[in-house]
Amino acid sequence: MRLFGVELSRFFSRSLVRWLFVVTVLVSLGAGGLALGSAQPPSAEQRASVETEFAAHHADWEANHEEQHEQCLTEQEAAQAEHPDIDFGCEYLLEEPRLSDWLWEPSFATEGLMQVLGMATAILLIAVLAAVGFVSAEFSTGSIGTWLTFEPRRVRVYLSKLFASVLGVALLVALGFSLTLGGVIAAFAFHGTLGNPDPELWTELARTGGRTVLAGVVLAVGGTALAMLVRHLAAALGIAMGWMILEQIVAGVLPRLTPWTLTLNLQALVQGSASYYVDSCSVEAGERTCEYLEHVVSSMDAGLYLGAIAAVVSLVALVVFVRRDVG
Amino acid sequence: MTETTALAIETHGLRKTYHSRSGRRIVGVEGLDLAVPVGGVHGFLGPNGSGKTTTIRMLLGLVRADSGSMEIFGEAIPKQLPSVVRRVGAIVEQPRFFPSFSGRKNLDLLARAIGAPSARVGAVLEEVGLADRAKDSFKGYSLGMKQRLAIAATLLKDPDLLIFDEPTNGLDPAGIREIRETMRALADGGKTVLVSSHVLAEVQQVADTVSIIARGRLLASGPVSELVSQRGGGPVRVGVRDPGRAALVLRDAGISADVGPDGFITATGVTDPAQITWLLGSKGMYVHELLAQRVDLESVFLELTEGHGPGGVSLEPPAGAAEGEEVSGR
Repeated sequence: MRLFGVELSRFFSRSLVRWLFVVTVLVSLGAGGLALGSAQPPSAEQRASVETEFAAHHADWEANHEEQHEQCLTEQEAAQAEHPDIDFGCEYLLEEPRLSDWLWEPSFATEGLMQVLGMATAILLIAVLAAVGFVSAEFSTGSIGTWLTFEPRRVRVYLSKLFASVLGVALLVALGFSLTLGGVIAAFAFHGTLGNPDPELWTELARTGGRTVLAGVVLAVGGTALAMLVRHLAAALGIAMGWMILEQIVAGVLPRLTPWTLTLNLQALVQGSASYYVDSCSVEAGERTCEYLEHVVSSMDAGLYLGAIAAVVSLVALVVFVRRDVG
Repeated sequence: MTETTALAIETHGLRKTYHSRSGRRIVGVEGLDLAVPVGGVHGFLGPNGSGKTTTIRMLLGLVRADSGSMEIFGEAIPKQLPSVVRRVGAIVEQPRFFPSFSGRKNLDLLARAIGAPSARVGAVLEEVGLADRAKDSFKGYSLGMKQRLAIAATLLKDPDLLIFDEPTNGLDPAGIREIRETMRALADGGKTVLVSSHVLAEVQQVADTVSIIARGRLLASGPVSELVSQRGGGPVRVGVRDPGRAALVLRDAGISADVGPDGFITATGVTDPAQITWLLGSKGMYVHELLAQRVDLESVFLELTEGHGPGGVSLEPPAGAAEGEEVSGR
């Protein structure tokens, strides 16, 4: 516990970490600034222009929609002679256009949430930099040697660094998420487009915040372990970035491997779920047909998968740290 | 504190090998038997690359030994290191701290790690003369200040054993003298100091006992005075009117004597220079100059390590060393 306290103190004393906190605050405030643009409702002039365009469109629909529907059905019938299952979806021509579909009305529940989620990725990148830098600095400065002459029990040393890194990163992510959310809410409130968010939305926001912090914890565990293994900030970040690029290439060539990529699972963990698409082809009566099927990775599956990877990498790093000579 | 052993450090058959990047096996330490008595300053000498730092790293648990055994104050290392580490303060090679933290911050973290009171930090900073620069960042310190901060860090524990690995590397003469005086003061205060160095005259000025190693093996060990006396007399420069004849007289008496181009004789294998004056005087030849070179640790070291050192030894004189190692017979 004492070592953990010392490591936590060291974490927050590091210049890099302090700068990253400043960057996180700036990024979060920047998110609020960006939200000011997207939270703005259309002006009276824009609204008048859209209403004029809509009126013309509506008049055209009233005059022609029945005829267009008939024509659509005729063309569909002709096509069905060759492909019986074909469906042109002609019914949509009978649906009356609505002004609300033409007017863009900003909504905190959609645009606001999307902006918060978008910023979560940036905050997580900052957090992983803090975790990796925290540990790798000790090796690059050689101070780990001095440290071990005071506390030679390496398992304790490792765990204290790991827990300090996890807590520090969790606080950093929580701060970033809270500031971003607060900024976005303030932007929508400023333009009067916040509406009246229902309790479900607040619950979803709280869950998203929790999942983002959890993603930060997983990245902190993985980042700390990686830094322990490679002992250099640039090398650790290079490996992490290289892996992200490599898995995108592999997933492009073999889409069935997509659910095992770290990026998709991180996305699923933060957003609640993430989709990927795989071609499913079959041959019936000599004819090959393909379907583009959507698959969903849930946040639970993603959390378990990422947690397992972080645990394995961390265990390997612990064994290596305990056994490795310190120069 | 009662000691169960008279040895602060003891190693038996200690061995460590490394693999170079090309995969070649390099022997760092080869069957080293080391015994460092409790109390006083013990010099740990050897050419560069002889295994001094590797041995120290093994004692501190930083490097794993391939085989052999180690003990510090009778406790098996590395198994019992956690129980004895509070009694050991060490600086291995260069002082290593967090560059952007102040000297005080670095020491504060170390003090908290061992549960030392924060007042102790101020005390050790005062002790090493860094109190007024304690708030400056470590990266702004001179090499001497860094070394003093490292000493302060070792003192946080108030250890019984201090291990200094090449503590004067890169220091100016004043810094070297300061470190030497600090080591002496610590030893005089009842602590055991192990100092590794390849600057021999520096060690001779402060060490009570020494161990000399080369290629990872112990070549000699014991009190400095004993090691020096065991090596017999040094060369003696003799000035006489007829050096050729005098050289013959000395050789007849079993003394190796060579006449140099300057007309002076260099006699070796002489236990007592007075023997030369007696021999030559008895033949009617009177010595007008007799200069006996004192045998020092450097001579002993060179004799022992000849051909062992991959990097050779540094023969640079230490700062503040007494001028002239020779004794005039006139």
